[in-house]
Amino acid sequence: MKNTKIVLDSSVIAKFIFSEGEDNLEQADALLADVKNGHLSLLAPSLSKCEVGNVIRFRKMTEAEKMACWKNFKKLPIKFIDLNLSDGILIQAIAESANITFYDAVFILLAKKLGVPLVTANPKHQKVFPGVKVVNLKDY
Amino acid sequence: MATAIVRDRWQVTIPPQVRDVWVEPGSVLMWEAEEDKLVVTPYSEKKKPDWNKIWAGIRQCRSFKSKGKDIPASQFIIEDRNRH
Repeated sequence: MKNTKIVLDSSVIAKFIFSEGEDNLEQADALLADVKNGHLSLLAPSLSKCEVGNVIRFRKMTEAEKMACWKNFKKLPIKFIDLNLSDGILIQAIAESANITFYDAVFILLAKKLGVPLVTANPKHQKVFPGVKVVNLKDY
Repeated sequence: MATAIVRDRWQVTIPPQVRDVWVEPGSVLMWEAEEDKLVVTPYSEKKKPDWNKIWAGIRQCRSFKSKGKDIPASQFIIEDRNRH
């Protein structure tokens, strides 16, 4: 079976670290199982590091637990990709046309740029974006 | 297309545009000189991830209970995007 690449929204990456109140953890684990089997590669914009980092920052946990979260996050088989400043105008256009935040649009642009699906648990991504296949995590 | 300058001691800095995508500190690169170009490729036998450690880390972190009334992390991220 060929290796498929997908972009993950941070809302999915969070499920690799946290479980309280999280749904579709089985689907999140299925993504990792597919990576382990060599069927899937996970990509995300570098923005995800900050978004997940902010969760860890504000989570009411002990410092030791936060450290463990960072260690776990670092081990996850996700390739983080920087977007260029020149992508900014495209991201802005997506954000404005879909009435979503710039942050939400970063993930759409990356998936579009790479020509791969976006897997997300973010309801704001459940729209039609030309040239981008959006997969709801619950359907994975 | 990214460019890099060969320095005095034949050192080359990996351009920022391609760092996170293809290489990380400690990566091994293969250099092949062709007729009109130099091809740099990440060494294919990359260290495989230790899946026992990955799953153990996930189980450990998922077992942590919030000491407050935190909303689910995935929800926090979605709401956080609207706060900036």
